[in-house]
Amino acid sequence: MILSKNLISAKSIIKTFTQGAKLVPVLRGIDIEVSKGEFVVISGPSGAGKSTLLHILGALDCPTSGKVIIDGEDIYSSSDEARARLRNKKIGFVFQFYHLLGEFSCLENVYLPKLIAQNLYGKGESNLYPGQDIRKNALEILSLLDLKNRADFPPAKLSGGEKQRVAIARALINEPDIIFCDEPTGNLDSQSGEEIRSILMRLNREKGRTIIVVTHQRDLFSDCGRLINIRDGLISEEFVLQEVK
Amino acid sequence: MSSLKEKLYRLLDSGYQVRTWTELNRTFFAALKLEKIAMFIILTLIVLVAAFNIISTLSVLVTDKTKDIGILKSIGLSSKGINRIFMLVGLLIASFGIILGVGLGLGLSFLLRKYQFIRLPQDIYYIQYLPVFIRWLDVGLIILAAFLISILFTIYPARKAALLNPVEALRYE
Repeated sequence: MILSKNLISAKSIIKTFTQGAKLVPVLRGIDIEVSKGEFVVISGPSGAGKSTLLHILGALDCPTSGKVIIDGEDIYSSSDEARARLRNKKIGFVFQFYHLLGEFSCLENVYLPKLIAQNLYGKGESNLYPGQDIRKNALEILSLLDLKNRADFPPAKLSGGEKQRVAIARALINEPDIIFCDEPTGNLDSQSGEEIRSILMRLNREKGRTIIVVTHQRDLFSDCGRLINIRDGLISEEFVLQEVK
Repeated sequence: MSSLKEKLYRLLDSGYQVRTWTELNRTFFAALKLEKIAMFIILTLIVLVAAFNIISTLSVLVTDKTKDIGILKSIGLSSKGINRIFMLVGLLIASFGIILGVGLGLGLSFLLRKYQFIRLPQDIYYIQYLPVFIRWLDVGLIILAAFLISILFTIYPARKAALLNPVEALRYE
């Protein structure tokens, strides 16, 4: 356990992809620190490495070199199992294309992370079926996001904005410390995009969740805490817009 | 058979020759043995084809479910968990096949024993119909072998699924 006042601390992150015999550097040495309760927006042109950075910070993809410390844990020196547990318990993801499981209802999609937590990482008995408390919890979150009447619908029957709200509900079910959003409004019309933005803002201001958003639409998040611009795999600009309370 | 032959030999005078039924029909039994070997080879090939079917079915399933695997990994399912899911699917397919196969095989054997509907030319085989003798030890061994072969052939696709990179899996269309 590494003691740090930051919730996330990334040091000298380098990521290089291989395309045939060619090496393509995407991140060329990025240092980032994020405190608990911060709202950070990462922006930049296409191919700058924003999503790759988000995946690395979110324990989804290993860096070629560098360290990521989340809540005192050096995540890339731990096992795959430990990273999976971290993604389940401390991290929630919201993606541009929602990534909901089409064969399950919205309610099932929402409680799935909790079911995984109960079966793989819980102390109690494992049970492949959700208990009443898990279903109730998922329904409560869906109600908070105005989706209670959509609980039994398959995701295919929902609009883009609704699908993204289900994805947010799924990200919230295990009460994670950090929510990573990869272009959360990128596939939505302006009204739905505004709704998603305001939900994320509320989660940050009222519930104190740490939120990291990668977006092209930096104007939409102009009232976030910190704005980081990435260009050619390096941080080109950084603005603190609001201090963390 | 050979002990009976020895007993008879001791009882009779030296002017007699004692030979068993199998010794008298040596060529016939050699042919039957060859037939048994050929049947074993054919059955082994059938089992191999069936086992490769498990690999191909699961490989198609892994490709089909690549995105879902990425989603499950992003919400916290470990590689071990994904591996377990696909092993379970493989075992379900195998169990279904084993239950169906053993059920059909035993059913057909009982029917054959009762109704004797496969007739044999008596001048060649000395018996009128195909005899059936069910050895429960053999049935158990076949079930065990089928399970082991299925588990062995499920390992590769399940491992392939478990080792998928979640980011690449999420990008898969």
